[in-house]
Amino acid sequence: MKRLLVRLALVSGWASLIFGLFPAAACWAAGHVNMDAARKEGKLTIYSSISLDDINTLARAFEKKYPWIKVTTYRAGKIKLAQRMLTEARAGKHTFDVLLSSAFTTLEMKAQNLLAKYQSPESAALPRELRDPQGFWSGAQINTMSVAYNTKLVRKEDVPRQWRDLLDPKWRGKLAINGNRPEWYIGLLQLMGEEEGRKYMRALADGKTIPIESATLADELLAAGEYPAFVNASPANTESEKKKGAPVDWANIDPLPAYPILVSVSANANFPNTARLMADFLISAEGQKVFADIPRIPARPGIEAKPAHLTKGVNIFYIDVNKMAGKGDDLEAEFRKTFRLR
Amino acid sequence: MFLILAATVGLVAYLALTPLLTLVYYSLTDAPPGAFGALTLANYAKAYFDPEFYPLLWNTTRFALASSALAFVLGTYLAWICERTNAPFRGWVSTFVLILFIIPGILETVAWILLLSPQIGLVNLALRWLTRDPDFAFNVYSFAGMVWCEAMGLYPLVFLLMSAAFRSQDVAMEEASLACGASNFTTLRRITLRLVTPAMLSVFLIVFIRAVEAFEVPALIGVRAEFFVFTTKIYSALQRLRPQYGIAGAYAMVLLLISVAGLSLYYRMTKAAEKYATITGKSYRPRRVDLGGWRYLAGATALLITGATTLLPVINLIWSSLTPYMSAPSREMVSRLSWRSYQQLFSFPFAQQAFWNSVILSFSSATAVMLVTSCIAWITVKSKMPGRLLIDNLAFIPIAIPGIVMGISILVLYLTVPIPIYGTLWILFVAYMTKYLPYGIRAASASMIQISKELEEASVASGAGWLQTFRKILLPLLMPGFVAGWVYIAVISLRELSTSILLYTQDTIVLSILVFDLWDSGRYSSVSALGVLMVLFLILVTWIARKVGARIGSIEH
Repeated sequence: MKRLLVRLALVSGWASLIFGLFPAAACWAAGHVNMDAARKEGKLTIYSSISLDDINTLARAFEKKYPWIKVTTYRAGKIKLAQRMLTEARAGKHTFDVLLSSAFTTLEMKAQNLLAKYQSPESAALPRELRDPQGFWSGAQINTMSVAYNTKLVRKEDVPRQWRDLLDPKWRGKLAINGNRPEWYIGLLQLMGEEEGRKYMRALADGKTIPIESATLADELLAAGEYPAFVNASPANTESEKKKGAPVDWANIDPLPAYPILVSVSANANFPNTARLMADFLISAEGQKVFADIPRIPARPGIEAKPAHLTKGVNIFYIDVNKMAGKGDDLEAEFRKTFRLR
Repeated sequence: MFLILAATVGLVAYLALTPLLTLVYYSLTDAPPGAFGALTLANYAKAYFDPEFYPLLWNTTRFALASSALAFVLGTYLAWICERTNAPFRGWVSTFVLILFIIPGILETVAWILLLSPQIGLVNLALRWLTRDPDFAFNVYSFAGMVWCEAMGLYPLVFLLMSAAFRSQDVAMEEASLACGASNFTTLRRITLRLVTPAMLSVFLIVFIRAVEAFEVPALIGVRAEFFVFTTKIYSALQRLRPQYGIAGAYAMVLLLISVAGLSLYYRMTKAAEKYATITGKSYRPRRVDLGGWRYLAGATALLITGATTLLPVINLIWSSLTPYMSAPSREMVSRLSWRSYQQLFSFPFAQQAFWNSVILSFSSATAVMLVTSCIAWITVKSKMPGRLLIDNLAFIPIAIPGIVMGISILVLYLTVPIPIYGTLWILFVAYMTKYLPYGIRAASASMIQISKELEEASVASGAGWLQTFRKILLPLLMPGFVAGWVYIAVISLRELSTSILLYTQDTIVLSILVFDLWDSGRYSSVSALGVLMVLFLILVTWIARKVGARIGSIEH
């Protein structure tokens, strides 16, 4: 596996070098993008579930590379995002060209036939798990999930190394859980196997986990010392809290489940060529560096996360996105019920 | 006259029926929005045969009654002190109370968690130190904690509407009561409060329904207290990639029922409308009650209540906006205070645009709603038009419709009919108007009922037309209620999220979207900074509104 990744990274490195030297070759490699048509289109709309500031940063970086394209953005949470796209589509109004969102929304849009098949040439550089075999999406960025802890309340030797460590009675009543990150539940169920996974989750919930309805609140209360640890935290967020001086850190548990943010092109895109260009850009080495600077963990191996130890020395378990298809709602409901979030 | 009235009635019917019919239709079908399906009662069966539902409904009832009662008592007491007594510090109190309004709900709830959490709550830490009892704790994660937090969010509304009612009250009857030897307290109980019955009922009804629909407190505190309310059922039906609009619609019928039943009760209790008319042809002058030595106690309690309920969360908010992460005040943290989150806020993309869009929407929708509902209030209170109660009901039911359903219904409507407002500020304006009709109509009716018919009759007898009478006589006399309703709508529309998020575009982004986005992406300090700025803005706007309202009121008298 590792060797395959290294080889891929090498190939993509060469590829970008060659394309960098010969701009014409880059156009050819983009394959599906008709540059003349793209120039005529001159704009695109991206719908996204990642924050306004982040999607704006990506859009501006893209506009810097292609100054003749104007990008319009819209952002909403995964549910409302899906509702808006579906309602628009049913009324025959097509507004979005590119979708950048978590797998839940993307899979639902794929099921509703709102996405186009588009295998970006850049996607060859991505790990196998972040490419859709059918070509409807590519991973643009990943979110790992781990246990975050308050360094004033948890001793170094008590930091968990395995997911099983959390079942130790010493954690009873001390673990917060964020009800809005079902990906963690889904990831561990895939990792442990459904039956084992469910058993584990029930045991964890029996240890009086503290339900919290928001990732932000869970992170902040952890920093303030309301509880010692938070089981489905985002290491990237913990790192930014740490940078601000908060007494928090995250555990490098083996392995850390990760869910991707996916990029897709609309089946009814008004501006299909600029849309493909955007998809290419987001997973290109250049676009991936923009993700890393935000900071978000890039999907592409070889582009370092900031800080690097978010992925370096971490055993990442990629959630199999297509296995979630059609089951997202039920698994989320199951997760919330198990941890008394209703 | 008929043209104007017919137009407003038509407008209200159009605005209110869109989401209502959508809701009813969803609840009776299995089709997703924008599509047609077979009619069925399955949603109702599924909703009401669910054994979990009834305990949750009972929880909701307890929670809503307790928090609206607390809000009602606090708000009415403070309003009476500020408007009708000579207690000191009144001016301070009336400014402070409104501040609680504008703080985004999520921040207010978080502020109370930070104050009253048994682990890190500042109030608890202080009290532990004072009482030297290491176990002393107010637990915010409890039924009482939830009621407290919810009441804190609601009592400013009570204060605002009750102040308007007290302001328009004639003192003649009170003087008669005092002259007959009744004490101040007896007069308050038997005259003052009786006369504002319509306002009290209106206010209680609104506050109760708002408590039933409460979201932030049950979500952020209730989950940890393991106290669930029935709106979590609506929420979990909708919080799915394939939302179960039918089930949510069936549950929302409970809200609809409460609204309609509450209104019927209101009509029954205020049937003899003329009884409450204290603004008559005789000059009316609301005069203050001299509390004597008691006024210091009254002033002190009012200041203590507002101080504890406003200043604590606001100071907390300011602290959070200046610190990099959530923390208790300490010497170490003081050295880290900085303006960084404010700077980040100003450089945030779309921040300016969101501000102006929000201001335009808030001012225009508040004005439009109050003008329309003043006309409707005239119809329901003063005219004998057939079907007038139906119109009042129509204007009031949007209060029972879940935000996302309202959003979807408007989305579907303007995507299908050839009215080209999709993607513009107009669609948000339509949504806000619909959403805030209920508050406008209650504020306007409660004020209209205080105005005696003889003033209009005198005006018409002197040759004025209806429009002229409405503009020159009724509107100025309605001013206290008009301004109260206007301020409330203008302020809460800045917080509207659930509908806006479905309807906005990059160019029509509003402040509440920004708040949600900052919060959701973990920028707690920046959201707090935005909250602080919104508080400052609110203080400015209410000050202007009061000046303008007072001027219009006094010139025209």
